[in-house]
Amino acid sequence: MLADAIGSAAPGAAREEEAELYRRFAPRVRLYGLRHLRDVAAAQDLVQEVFIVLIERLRSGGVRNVEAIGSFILGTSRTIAVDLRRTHHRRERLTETFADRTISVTQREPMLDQARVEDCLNSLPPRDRMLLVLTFYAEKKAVDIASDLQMAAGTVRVARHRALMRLRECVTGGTPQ
Amino acid sequence: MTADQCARGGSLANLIDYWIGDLDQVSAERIEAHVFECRECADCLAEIATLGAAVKETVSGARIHSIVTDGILNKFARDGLRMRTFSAEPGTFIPCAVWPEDDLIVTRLKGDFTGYEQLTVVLKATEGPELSRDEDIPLAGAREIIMVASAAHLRKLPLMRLQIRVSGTRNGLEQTIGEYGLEHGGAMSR
Repeated sequence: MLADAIGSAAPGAAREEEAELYRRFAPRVRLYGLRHLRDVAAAQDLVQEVFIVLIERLRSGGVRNVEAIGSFILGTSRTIAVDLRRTHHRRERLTETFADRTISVTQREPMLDQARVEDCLNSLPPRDRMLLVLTFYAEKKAVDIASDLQMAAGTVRVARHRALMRLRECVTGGTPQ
Repeated sequence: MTADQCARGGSLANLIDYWIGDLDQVSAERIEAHVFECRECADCLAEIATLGAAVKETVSGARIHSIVTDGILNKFARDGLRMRTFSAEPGTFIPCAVWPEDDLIVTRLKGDFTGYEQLTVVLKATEGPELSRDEDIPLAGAREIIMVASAAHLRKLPLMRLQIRVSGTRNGLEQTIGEYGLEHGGAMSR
């Protein structure tokens, strides 16, 4: 097991295992960061800080239950995300006050073929399209969409799920309708 | 992951709800714990996140045509998208055009849509074939249908007279609710 191998090797000797651990879990930490910090750069900061703590703890034998390494990484992500959220808010306030935003560069998310997404999104049935726009652009929750469109929240959830699956099917290989 | 579930029983619907923030805290934490143990669900969540970001990117880039709500229009305005709005009453012809600074063209179709189901919007050239047909459109109010279209797309259309027909089903019968004429003046310049 990766965590075992890192913990039992001399510090820094299990580079392959550390790299594999990063490949497996960094995307999950990044998603956790995106979900909770809602900022690409902050999510990337979270990945780096979590892995610094994780590798140091594994190398020094400070992880008690290496079998549950996923749980340890999640717990570390939660703790560090709280700190980062504070730092991020403070940095945002300072930026608003002092910084020249025109020189800031935001890291972009990995994206799909945008032309394909555009064709597929615009080919979906109108109800599906509107649900996806309300969900991912307007960032509305099911209960708010339900209120706007006079539907039950449960119905919105089911319809949204189907709409996203139709979009996925089209983007990843089907044909626009 | 199969269509709806991973091998360990994690559900795709729950992952979507989690990503959107539609779960209570306890359920969300349960999903997080599962994602950190299940590679299949981690991959699936990444896919949901990527698709969601792609939808946002497409809409933010004004490359969408859709029925929308006033709330979405407000969000467009907050995001700095420039909109030109045309309001049409049933039975009228109105001039419309696209200007260089426009990102989106908004068409407000006025009418009384109360009690209709299965609303259908058909766009056609007055002397020509159907250009688009949207069936079972969602409706956020009973007195108006709000449509947006990408200005970049509309700039490519030639000068033409367009007709929009809105129909719906009431008491089991399909009826025309309103017909709206647009005199498309093409892409203007200053």
